[in-house]
Amino acid sequence: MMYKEMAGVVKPPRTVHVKFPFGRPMGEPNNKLQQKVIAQDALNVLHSCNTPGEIIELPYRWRRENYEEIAKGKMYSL
Amino acid sequence: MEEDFLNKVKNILNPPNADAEFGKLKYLGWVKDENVISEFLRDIYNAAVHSREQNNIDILNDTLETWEAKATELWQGPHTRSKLQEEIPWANVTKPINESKIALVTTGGFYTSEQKAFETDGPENLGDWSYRTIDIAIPTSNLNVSHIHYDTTGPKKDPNCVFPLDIFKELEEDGIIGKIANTNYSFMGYIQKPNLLSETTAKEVAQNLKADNVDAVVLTST
Repeated sequence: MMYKEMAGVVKPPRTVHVKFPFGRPMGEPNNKLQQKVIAQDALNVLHSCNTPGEIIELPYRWRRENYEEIAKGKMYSL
Repeated sequence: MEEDFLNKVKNILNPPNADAEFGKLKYLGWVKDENVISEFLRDIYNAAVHSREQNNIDILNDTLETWEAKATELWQGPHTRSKLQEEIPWANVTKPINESKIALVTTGGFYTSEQKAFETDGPENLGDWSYRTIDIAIPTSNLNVSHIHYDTTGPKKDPNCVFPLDIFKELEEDGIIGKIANTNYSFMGYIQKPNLLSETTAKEVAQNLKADNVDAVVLTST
């Protein structure tokens, strides 16, 4: 979990970028559902990403998503 | 006069004590290009008008997020001072996630009440490249944050928004991951000479993670 401009320089093997404010890479404080979705998205990158240095951008808009629906749609643990 | 005007704009776009609500938009306050500022004002003005007319706040929100991305691109942040890495470390993942031991490493500046706080600016303003081990048994309510180079109001309310220990504990209980490591690691990301980190404490933590048979690490930066 890192902002993509930094990831382009320090090059972690796999990066997940979110369009969230700094200081909230997993999402809003106390929004457990959101944080669980982001965590599962990040874990999935372990297998889905096969190119070293790849940066995956998650599409979520800050404070404007329904994470219950997203979790259900992706068959994630709630 | 022009300089005065740009300074006024800077103070509007990046007000003193701007917190997380200003997001990455506040970096526009450091952009001294009149064309960029004019373009921003035009877009935000039009978006506000259309949002009102169509009774649709998403128009304004989308414009803010577009400009947030532009502001981060234009921002002369730490990435412009970091050494470009040529080689990308890589290890294939051989185990299913639900059989893997996962550790968390953060740069959010967390420490327990029994541990020493980080030196937020450190000796000669070089920062602090030490780390704290965070045992999974420690309740996240016992974690403190010392970092003055990002807005810590979020993690002070809920450490999981930066260092998701409780979330990964739940993912273990849910059977999504095999196990969360007993020992997880916290750094404080303000380190002005990255080699001080990469040649000492980062190596040490990597060795510890290997010795602990950790299969994958989730790094969360701020």
